[in-house]
Amino acid sequence: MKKEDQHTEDDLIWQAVRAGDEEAFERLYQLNFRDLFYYGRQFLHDEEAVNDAIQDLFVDLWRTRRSLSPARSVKYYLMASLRRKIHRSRHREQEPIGNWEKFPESNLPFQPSAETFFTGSEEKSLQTERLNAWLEQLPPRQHEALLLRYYHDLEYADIAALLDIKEQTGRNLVQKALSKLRTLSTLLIFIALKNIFYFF
Amino acid sequence: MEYQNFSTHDFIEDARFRQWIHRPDADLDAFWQAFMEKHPEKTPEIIAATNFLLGIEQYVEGESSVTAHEKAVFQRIKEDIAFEAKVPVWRQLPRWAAWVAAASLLLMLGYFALPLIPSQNPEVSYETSRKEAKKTLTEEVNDTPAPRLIKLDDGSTISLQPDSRVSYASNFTTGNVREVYLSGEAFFEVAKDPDKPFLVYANELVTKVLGTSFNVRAYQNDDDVTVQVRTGRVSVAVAEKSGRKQEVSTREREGILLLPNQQAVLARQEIRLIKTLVKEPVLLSKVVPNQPEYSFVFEAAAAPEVFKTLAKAYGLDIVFDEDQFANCQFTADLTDVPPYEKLDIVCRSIEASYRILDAQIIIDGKGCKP
Repeated sequence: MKKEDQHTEDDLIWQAVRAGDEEAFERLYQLNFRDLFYYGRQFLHDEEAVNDAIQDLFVDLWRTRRSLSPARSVKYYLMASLRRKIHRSRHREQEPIGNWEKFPESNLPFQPSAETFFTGSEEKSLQTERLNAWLEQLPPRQHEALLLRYYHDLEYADIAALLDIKEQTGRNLVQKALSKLRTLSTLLIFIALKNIFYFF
Repeated sequence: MEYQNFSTHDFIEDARFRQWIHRPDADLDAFWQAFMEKHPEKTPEIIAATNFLLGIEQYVEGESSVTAHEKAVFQRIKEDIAFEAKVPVWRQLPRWAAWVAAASLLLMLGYFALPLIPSQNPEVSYETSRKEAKKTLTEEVNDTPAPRLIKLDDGSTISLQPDSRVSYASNFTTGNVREVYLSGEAFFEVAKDPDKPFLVYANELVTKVLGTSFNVRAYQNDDDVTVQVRTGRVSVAVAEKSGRKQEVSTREREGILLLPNQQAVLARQEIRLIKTLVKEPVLLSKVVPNQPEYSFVFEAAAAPEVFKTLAKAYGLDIVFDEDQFANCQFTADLTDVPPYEKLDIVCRSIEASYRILDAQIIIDGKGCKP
């Protein structure tokens, strides 16, 4: 399925949800759960808390479906709603945070450390570790923007809207992060060659 | 497309490339494999870009799996909004209450249906739609007793049934939509073109697709218009021009989404769209790429597993109480049995019955003793 197909399919599903189609609602959920879950996990340690936020999001969505407007990008709409929900609940639980860019690093969105995933798996190559180390050391916004682009496949316009910045700034954030990787890029060629055999 | 001049960076910025890595399908595989065969010198860039994207994916997802979360959370959502209420309500009620409810529903239907019957003469038909098209139309008529195959310029085909006709603009592929007018019955196989939706006008119904196959039945004198989906997804709505606007509800105007093996029936008098299942569901593995094949040989299988297998193989929504049927066992080879007969055999052997409500199959029964 091509990207444009995906957009039009999203539109069909979105319209059907607005009209009260339960099956379309379930489909919408299935299509977006993975992105929402991993996006939410960037901000919350607790996976159950992420699940709760997603549950709230879809329950609200169904209850207010009649007043939904046509969405430019469905995935963007859902991710932005989840982000707002999570940040709002953080406000409630902790002291109100102002500009979270200036906030102490320890309270910033949780970034899973490489050890969380790779403990004990010696066969992971040095290069994978270096990629992870590089991702870890990125400033929070670059980190988020980069994942939005290359994991969640969002357009720059949507990334900018999510982070509440100008589109060009979003583009710069990602490219700035990448430029640091350039030095690593020759190494990347040799990463986990076995991964790619799946595709050939 | 200048892919042969792409750097690693260009590849990771390319939406089509990222999609191949994250959500590969047969089309994308074919495209990129053909590209790599033609441009072997690009292999290092492609490997680097792939590794980068897979590295990010691994970083984000780790070893965790979302499937269990996905199911559990949706269950909670369903409970919260209780839209499944429309199915289990009578399962919770005593039997006599269900009968009373069914009887009063019938009475109400009778009451509301009566005043609608006299208004004959539908306002939207093949002829009126054709007139409103304001384009030079080419018409194909099938007055032979066998189906007739029509090939359109965009690569789509129409299998036109006897006593049916279609019209389409002489410059079919030049506009930004592909529009076809149908009277009678036809099976469409639509060539994919996301920029140009394919619309079929059939009496009061508009069917909108991107690339898929489906059947439309809309004879001028029939009471219903039917759309059945074979592959892909199709949106069906009541045509905006269909006069009685105030009577047409949002659901009918904005349309419903159909998946394979589902059909929409428009009751033309009431302008009411109903979603239900086709009479002869086909195996998804036959019509949808990358669908797993399921075995229908069961040996002392638990009934819930049997129902789940049938549901997955045909893309059906089968509603049953898992605990109630947990002790029911089933042994048979259903491989060459038609779909509904499969259900029938399973149900009879465990003293249950099934009925179809909307697009769902509901299993009723007492269950089995351990």
